Amino acid sequence: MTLTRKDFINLEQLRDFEVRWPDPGEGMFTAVLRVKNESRSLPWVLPGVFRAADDVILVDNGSDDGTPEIAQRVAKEQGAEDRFLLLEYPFDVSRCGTEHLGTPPNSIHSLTYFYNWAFSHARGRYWWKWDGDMVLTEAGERSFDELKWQLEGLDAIITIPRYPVYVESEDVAYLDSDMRNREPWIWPNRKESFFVKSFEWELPVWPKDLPYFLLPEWTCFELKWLDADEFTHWSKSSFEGTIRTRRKAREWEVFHAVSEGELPFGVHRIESPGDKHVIDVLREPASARYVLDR
Amino acid sequence: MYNRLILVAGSPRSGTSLFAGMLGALGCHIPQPEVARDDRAPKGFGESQWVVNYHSKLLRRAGVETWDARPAAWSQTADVAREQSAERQLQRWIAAEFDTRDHVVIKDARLHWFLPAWRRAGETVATPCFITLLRHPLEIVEDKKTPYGERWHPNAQTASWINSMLYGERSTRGDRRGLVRYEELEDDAMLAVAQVSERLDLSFIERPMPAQMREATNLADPSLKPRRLKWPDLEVNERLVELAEEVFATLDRAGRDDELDEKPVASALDDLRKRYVDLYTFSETTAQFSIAAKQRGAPSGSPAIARDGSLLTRDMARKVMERTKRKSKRTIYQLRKRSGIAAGGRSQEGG
Repeated sequence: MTLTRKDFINLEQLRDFEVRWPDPGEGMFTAVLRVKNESRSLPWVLPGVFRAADDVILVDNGSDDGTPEIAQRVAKEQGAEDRFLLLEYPFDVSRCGTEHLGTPPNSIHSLTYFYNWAFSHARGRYWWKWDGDMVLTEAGERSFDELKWQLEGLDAIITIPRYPVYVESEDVAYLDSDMRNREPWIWPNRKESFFVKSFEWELPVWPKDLPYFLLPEWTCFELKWLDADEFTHWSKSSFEGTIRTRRKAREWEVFHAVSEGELPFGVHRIESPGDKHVIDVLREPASARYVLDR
Repeated sequence: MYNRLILVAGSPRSGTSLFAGMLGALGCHIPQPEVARDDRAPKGFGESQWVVNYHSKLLRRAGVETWDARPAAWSQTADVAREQSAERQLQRWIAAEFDTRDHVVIKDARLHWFLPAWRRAGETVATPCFITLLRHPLEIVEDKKTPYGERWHPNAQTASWINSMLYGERSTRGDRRGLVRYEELEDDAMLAVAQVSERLDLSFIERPMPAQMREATNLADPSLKPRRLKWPDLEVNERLVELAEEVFATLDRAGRDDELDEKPVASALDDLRKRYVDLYTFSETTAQFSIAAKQRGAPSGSPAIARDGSLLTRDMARKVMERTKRKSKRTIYQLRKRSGIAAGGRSQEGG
């Protein structure tokens, strides 16, 4: 017997932020991005998402760098205003780690509640969870196009490999080919799909016994700006504690190493030829060689 | 010692199956095979069949029920558990379970009777950690019928709840232990698991991967929702109600404030235990004629009757004789088998 989602109100009894699960609507993929201060990344992230998804929901959590305005501008540039929903979640949300563990899952301040509320607006046949710093490659966009017909007769969980890219300037970035993260990012929008609390962060749950499909190796990469503090959404600096947080430990290590001019094993320095931004270079199919030739 | 023997005890409907099941899903080892799920626990009991069989056998020998209100039952169960054969069997079984595992979960409705035995048997290979689930007795006491199919009056059920909570606490005093309030499990099961794991230094908590956490989350059982009964609905005697409420309040407060191991709490619980024994003794002696009429010739196990001395001696003697008879029959059978003597007493090898 699998748990199914139910409508519920938050601990703080704020009715405007109740979780109410709607009936499914049209479209295959509804992308849901929860963002805070991603104005720098969104111009790279959103165009690919608009091309790949049927609908896009962006939930802003208290940005003060113009993130919502940037998102609306990109939606207009892509001709996607009618497929774009901008929502605001004006509450402090607990950071991943011990803060999250200590927050009740039905509190308005819980990551778990935040996710449930955000996704309760998504009506496509599939939920596509995405971050405001993840860029789809050209090959990744093609994969999504193929999935739209490949999934017509099937419910499945789609796992996507992701690599971190540390951006130094318009011309130079560092790709860590040694740190591949494979996670489910897309799953069916069914009554068994919602979010629960795990030890360090929220955890999506979904119908049991579905097949898992893995997208190609160079489907997306995650932007990390070397001149920004990439770890503000964690509540402690040490990530060595568990198997689950070791990825963060590696990111911490690489971030600081390349900032100091070192090149750890598995990290590639990518330089643009000069006629385009290094991020656009990385989006091209040829850049797959950095991860395929590991 | 890195190994952890995790013993999960508590009344039916207090969340023990859920808690043990969650630990199992998160990577602790529940010795296999497990007791098959049924209507009482559609998502499983989180119990090892071997453990259930072992406890059931000992309880039968002790003449104690799974939920038994008699204070004397604790010494009866301790007595059978201390027998060398029982101890050796348990020690060997535990050692084998830790051969390839470092966190083993033991849960059974009968476990509370044998906690000291598990400690003795387990501590050579692991650190025993005791977790008790606490839920208000109004959610535990059933209307005439327990989940185990027995028919006990709510007075008897309430008394057995008091007995098990008070003596269960006493039997783990000084051990590495934690109390999980059902309310915490209901509100935020992951936090409840994380907190007790931190308290007991259970390192398995660092290992679960997302698939395991999903499995753990899926174990929540909607049938354990509060029933919202009141004491008058169950017709429980007011003296028992008063004592049950005090026991619950003391343990609940101790659990909430993490003060279970503090001296004032221990004193308060000792006092409650004394009051319970006094109440039970009063009830038992008052009902002595009814007991005698119903169980004429059977051992009563009551400390009041034991004060008579001779009756206790006769009871013990009868038990010893019956046990000796059974053992002798087994020994003779085995000797005959080894020497090839057939059932009729003749050697099968001729002569």
